[in-house]
Amino acid sequence: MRGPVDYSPLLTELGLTGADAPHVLAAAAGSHARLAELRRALADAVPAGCAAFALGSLGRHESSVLSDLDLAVVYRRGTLDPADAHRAREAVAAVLRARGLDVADKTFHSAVALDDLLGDIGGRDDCNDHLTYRALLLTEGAWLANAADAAAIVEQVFGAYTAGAITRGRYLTSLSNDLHRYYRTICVDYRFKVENAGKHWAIRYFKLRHSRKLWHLANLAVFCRAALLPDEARDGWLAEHLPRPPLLRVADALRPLGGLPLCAGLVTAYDAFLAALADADTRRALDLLAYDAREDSPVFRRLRAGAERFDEAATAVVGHLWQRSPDHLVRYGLL
Amino acid sequence: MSEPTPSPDLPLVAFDLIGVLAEPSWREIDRAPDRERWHRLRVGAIEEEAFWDPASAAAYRACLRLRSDRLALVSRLRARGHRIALATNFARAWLAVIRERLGGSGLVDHWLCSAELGVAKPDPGFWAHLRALAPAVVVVDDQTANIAAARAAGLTAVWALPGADLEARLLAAIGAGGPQA
Repeated sequence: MRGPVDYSPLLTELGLTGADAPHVLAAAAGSHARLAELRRALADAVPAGCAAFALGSLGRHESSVLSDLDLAVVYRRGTLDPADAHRAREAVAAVLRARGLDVADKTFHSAVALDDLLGDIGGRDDCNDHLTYRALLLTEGAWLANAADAAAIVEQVFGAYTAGAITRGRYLTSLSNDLHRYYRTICVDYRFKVENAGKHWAIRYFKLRHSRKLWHLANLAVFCRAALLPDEARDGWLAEHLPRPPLLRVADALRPLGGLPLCAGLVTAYDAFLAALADADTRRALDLLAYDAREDSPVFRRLRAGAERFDEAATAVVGHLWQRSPDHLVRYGLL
Repeated sequence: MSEPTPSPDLPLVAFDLIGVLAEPSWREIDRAPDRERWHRLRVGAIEEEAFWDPASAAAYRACLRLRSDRLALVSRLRARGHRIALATNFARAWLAVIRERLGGSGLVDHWLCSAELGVAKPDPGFWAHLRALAPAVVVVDDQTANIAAARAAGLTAVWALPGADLEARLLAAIGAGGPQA
């Protein structure tokens, strides 16, 4: 996305106005402004051969001032010494923290070499972290520093799938399978984080039921749509659409399939979710909520009702894909 | 190594700048991009001082970088004897930065900048300037609207889409002389 994400044409197509999706619009405008400001601050922060990305809600243009930032620094081994890349990562993180951003150190705690991400896709050394980088760079990676190397890196990640002469599949299923795999991984990761690592459950639970699910639905939808395109047009269409925010991705897929009106329910239900995540009191209530006390929490019950509305809207989208692209949905999305 | 001599018999290859040879777009560092003002800047109707503030101007210069992988491709094409053009919708002041960064590399034979020409892609007038340079021109651009317009103007055009092997597609277009998807 070069400029601010513009949802206005979609809202108009859906018969909605800005008042129906104020938090979607605010997150898009705020995310663009945050990215622009951070890019200015990080203009000289990384050397050639290295790029910094914002993944997560900022990369999807869905962030609020309360969002944390998943910082990914990727470098080319051979062009840049690993120690220099790690120093660059620390320097970028320091600039971001100095500006008050919460830079999570979990998956993305150190700089990662591009050839490590691409050298063993599906192999024994292809760990969850590498899968995470690939999936998120392709679908929600917004550059923060060194846009030129960032563009080349993302192209190379996409190219790793398109270049698989034997395994890519006519429909680029090597990539769609990897994206499905990432979605299933984070669903199971929720179990580990909460049961074994002592992490708090409630916000993760609602992210799984909204943003993670929408991300997965968007991937399903674009691959169902792409399957109906001529072979020579498919890779280009996927490369163009996969980086777009998930709501737009679903709309891009459904529009030519005659299902665009189904996006209205998704947009309004998702707006309620973004409203909750942008509200400090709601976040605090979720952070403090004990699992056994959830039914007594108005915040929990409200968000759960929203998640159910979102499920209904998502189910309607899947039902439409079932009608319009059944072969691809069943053979490659489900089976 | 001696400088290769460009051959007038080979197609001129015209590269777009932002999205193909360099990044980022000005819009990516502008908190509230004003497209209407951009449309005036890119055809030279206003200068940069009227477009944005000095801090933004400095920030863009600091962020603007050439893609080494794509410069290597340009270099290989020149070694094959192709003349190279830069065909870009860009501000005059920013082009100076690119000229300086490319230094004396001699990679670019012709510089076609919308702000200097007074006409921007995809306007047919822009392609007319390219057509005047060589009997055969291959345009490389990341915007599908520009690809369609270049073809409508009778030029061969190659879409620089992410993940595709641009060099293979470009060489196929040069070899075949026809449009590439």
